[in-house]
Amino acid sequence: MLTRRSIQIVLTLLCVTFIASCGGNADKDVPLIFAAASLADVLAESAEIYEKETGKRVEFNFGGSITLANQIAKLDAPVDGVFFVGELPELLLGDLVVPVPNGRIGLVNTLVVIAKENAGNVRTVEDLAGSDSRIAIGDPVLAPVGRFAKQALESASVWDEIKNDLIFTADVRAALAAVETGNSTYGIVYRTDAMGSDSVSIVSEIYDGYSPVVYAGRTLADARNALAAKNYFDFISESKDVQNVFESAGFTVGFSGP
Amino acid sequence: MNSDISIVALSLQIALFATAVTLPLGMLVAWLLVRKQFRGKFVLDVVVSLPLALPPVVVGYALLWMVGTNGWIGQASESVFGSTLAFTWIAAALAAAIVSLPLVVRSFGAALAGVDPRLEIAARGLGAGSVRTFLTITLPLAYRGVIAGVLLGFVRALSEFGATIVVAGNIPGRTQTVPSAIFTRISAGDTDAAWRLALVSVVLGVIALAIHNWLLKRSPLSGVGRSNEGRR
Repeated sequence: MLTRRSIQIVLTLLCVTFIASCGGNADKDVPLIFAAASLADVLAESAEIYEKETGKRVEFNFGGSITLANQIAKLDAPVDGVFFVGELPELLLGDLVVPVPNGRIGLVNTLVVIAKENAGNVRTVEDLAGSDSRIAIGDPVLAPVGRFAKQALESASVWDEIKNDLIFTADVRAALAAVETGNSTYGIVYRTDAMGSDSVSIVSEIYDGYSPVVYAGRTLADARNALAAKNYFDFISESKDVQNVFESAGFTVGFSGP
Repeated sequence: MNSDISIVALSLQIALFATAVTLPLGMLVAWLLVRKQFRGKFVLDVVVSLPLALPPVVVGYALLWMVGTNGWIGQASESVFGSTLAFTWIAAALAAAIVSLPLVVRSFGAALAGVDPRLEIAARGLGAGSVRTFLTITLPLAYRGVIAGVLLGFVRALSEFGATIVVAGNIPGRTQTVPSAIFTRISAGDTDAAWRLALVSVVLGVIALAIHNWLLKRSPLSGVGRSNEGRR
């Protein structure tokens, strides 16, 4: 029955919900850091260590570095720090990011060709040309891993032959998943992603033919929580525990500086 | 499991906000379209229905320009809050509101059309103003259809993906809704986690539609053609 009372109750509930939901979700001083998809596990672990030792929290959004860099540079995503890979995100961000200070931790990675456990005859990148099977790589437009894969395939002179067999994914983890689920026979991902997966094996390491795969953590110059982001980057640059996390996952650790 | 609950909670928050926007707005538009004649009525109908005919990503993209630094909503937000609305939960809620508005307007319109206008005219003739007539005559007669419309709009707002992804991104804890989280989990090969949330969506959808259909069955509209009302 629609009584005046019931209208009042419904309107009150709506107002209360409205007001309660205006609280918003962004905590003060918790920086939001956009990062490459391949860093998902190690950064999550580093954040646990950070919180255990300092009591402070960090929030991440993982994805293709180019996608995310565009969201920041062209679409004003409210982000405090980034941890991307490759040159293009850096170019896209330009002077939105603060120059990397000395002593800042950086990571290096390499590419590998993967397949599910009992795969075919591929032993090198060149072998992919004769395989006539699907190959999952990140979309070169969205993720640096796809650009690196494309460079490697072009350097091995097989790009033209296999490009119609390629499956483009939004980031490296989706390419990994495509191979894990059997939807793609082969994939080109980072070494660290292959090492972190139980159901795929590395059939070939790709050592050259592509630009260096370097990750750098940067803070955004005009960000609301830039200082909190900087504190997090300073922490992981100094923490031996975090460096162990990176190295165990297969990253090579280095530091910026003179 | 914890993150499942927080994802569902954020989705509900966004959908409730969107419904709070579409309820009054949808009712106003529906009333104009059903009860009033005016120039440009056709245009209003088309504009409000447009999100039904467009790909949701287009709706999201258009909204992105409005809430970003180049848009009027974004600039207003920047002067009041210091930042644009892009990639915030409010942008996600606005996207959900825009895509669910056409459904809400249509449902409300059907509900209003089922109310005999002569009753409203009689009330006005007895001295009641527009608002009082609406609240005491129209709404009580149409309320089942109105609730059904609210439910439809709410569940549509809960399911929005394309527009949300474009205007608010897919940021865990801030703008990752149930559909966005399902997409991420599918992409990451996390099939168990994807199924859990998919199940939640199915359950919510079934409940909403069941109540929606039950309400419409019992509303005045359902008696058309079956009762003797018309044969006096």
